[in-house]
Amino acid sequence: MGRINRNNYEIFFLDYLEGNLDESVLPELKEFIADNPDLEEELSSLNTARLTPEETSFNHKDGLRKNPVLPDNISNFEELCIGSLENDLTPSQEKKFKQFIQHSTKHRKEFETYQKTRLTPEKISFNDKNSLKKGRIYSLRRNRISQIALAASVALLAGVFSLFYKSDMNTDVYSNKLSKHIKYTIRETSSQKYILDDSVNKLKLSDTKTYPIKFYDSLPNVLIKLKFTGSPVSEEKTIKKIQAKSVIITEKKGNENIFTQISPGKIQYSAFPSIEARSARDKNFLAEKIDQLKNKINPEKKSFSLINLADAGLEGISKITGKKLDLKPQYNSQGELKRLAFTTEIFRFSTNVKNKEQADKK
Amino acid sequence: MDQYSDNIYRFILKNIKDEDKAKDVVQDTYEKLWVRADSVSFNKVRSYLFSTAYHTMIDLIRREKKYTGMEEINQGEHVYENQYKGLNEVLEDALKKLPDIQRSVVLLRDYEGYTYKEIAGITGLSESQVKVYIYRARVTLKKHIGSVEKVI
Repeated sequence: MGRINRNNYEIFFLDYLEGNLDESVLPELKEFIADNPDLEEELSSLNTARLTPEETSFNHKDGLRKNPVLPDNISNFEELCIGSLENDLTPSQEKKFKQFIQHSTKHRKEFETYQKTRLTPEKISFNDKNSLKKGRIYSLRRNRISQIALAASVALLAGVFSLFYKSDMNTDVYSNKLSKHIKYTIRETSSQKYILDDSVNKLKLSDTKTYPIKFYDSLPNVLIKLKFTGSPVSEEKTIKKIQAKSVIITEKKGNENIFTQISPGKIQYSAFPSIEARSARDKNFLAEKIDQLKNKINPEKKSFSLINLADAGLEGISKITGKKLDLKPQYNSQGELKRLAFTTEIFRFSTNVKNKEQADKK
Repeated sequence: MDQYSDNIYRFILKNIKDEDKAKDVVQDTYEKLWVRADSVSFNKVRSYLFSTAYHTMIDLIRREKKYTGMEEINQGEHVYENQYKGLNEVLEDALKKLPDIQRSVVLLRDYEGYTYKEIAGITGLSESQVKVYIYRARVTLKKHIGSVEKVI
């Protein structure tokens, strides 16, 4: 184990405390402690940090016995009732139990109540038994599979659709851009006080503070009311329904507070942002991709096929899903397609492609 | 098949109280049986059906977030507002108030006459757990009957 030093002393201390330290090491340990008086204190504190077992007793030992004991103090009477009901008692226990309840009206009545807990089967029929037959079940399964296939197709179409419409842009950034153009102003007089009452967020605006921009991320169609308090009368006025991502800004100009609600009415926060939101790169994604492929294939031929279109589509789906989907065509020296490989994270397959000339020769 | 489908339907219906969903569970159960028909021995068809139906029902309950939890015991104060006509009605009401697992094991015990071991096989519990749940169910049912009898 080596000599005791400040890096390894804990192991020696522990062995010493648990009585496992080799006696030959003891002088060395004492010498080490003498040289390091601060650790002597640590050793003595460790010595007192031992846990001592508490005296705890389990008071329900009767309940742990293999067979229920007969009621000497009726503490296990319930258990015996159920044991008798479920035929779990031995014949001798059953006999003693029955004798016991015969002599105690109270316990006999209680046992009778237990007997009533046994449920009597009702006659309930399953009327559509034909639907359970093997052929019918398979037909139902096929229908279900068709439905799943249909749902999957719709999901796939939606995915492909989103290729052309979904933007990578951060929608918050986007909303800020648009919000500059769409706003309206409400003015108050100096004698009145506006309270913006948002019953959901408990947001209240008085007339002296500067208010932070408030985003309503998850509160579509929150009704905003302005309460006019003070003389001559109080009134409440509904100003506007705000929608998700709305912003309320207030600013003070002299005696007037200007409440600005940036209306989201013209902002489209659907899954697919509006045309304005799409970057040029997104709009031209497919065209750019096809151009790249055209150049890769054969610069002289300047043509592309459905394979190139499919490759562009797969790249789009990969972009959306984050999963690698790859269509790798291989070309000969004349730029003709020879082999096609489809690769995903799960499987890969490839196939030879015969061109028209080869097919004619054969 | 006719006899078993009635029993399974009754077992599920008593548990989830929804005829359409109970029918779906029975159909799903038989669908699973036909898929595995070659590997299920004739003698074990009944318990296979009950086991499959039970687990299908539990999945359904969990999906619908109606599952109250294995250990959650709803043995609190009962309010008896109903006018009971007889013991069966009282028991029926008490049965509804049992936790799902207790209701299932006591139904398998009383309606189908299964042994502890068979119920353990169907529900995936140990025999001891089955005994405990039956015990707790009986105590709850007895308390319910006792309280109603006092009121009446």
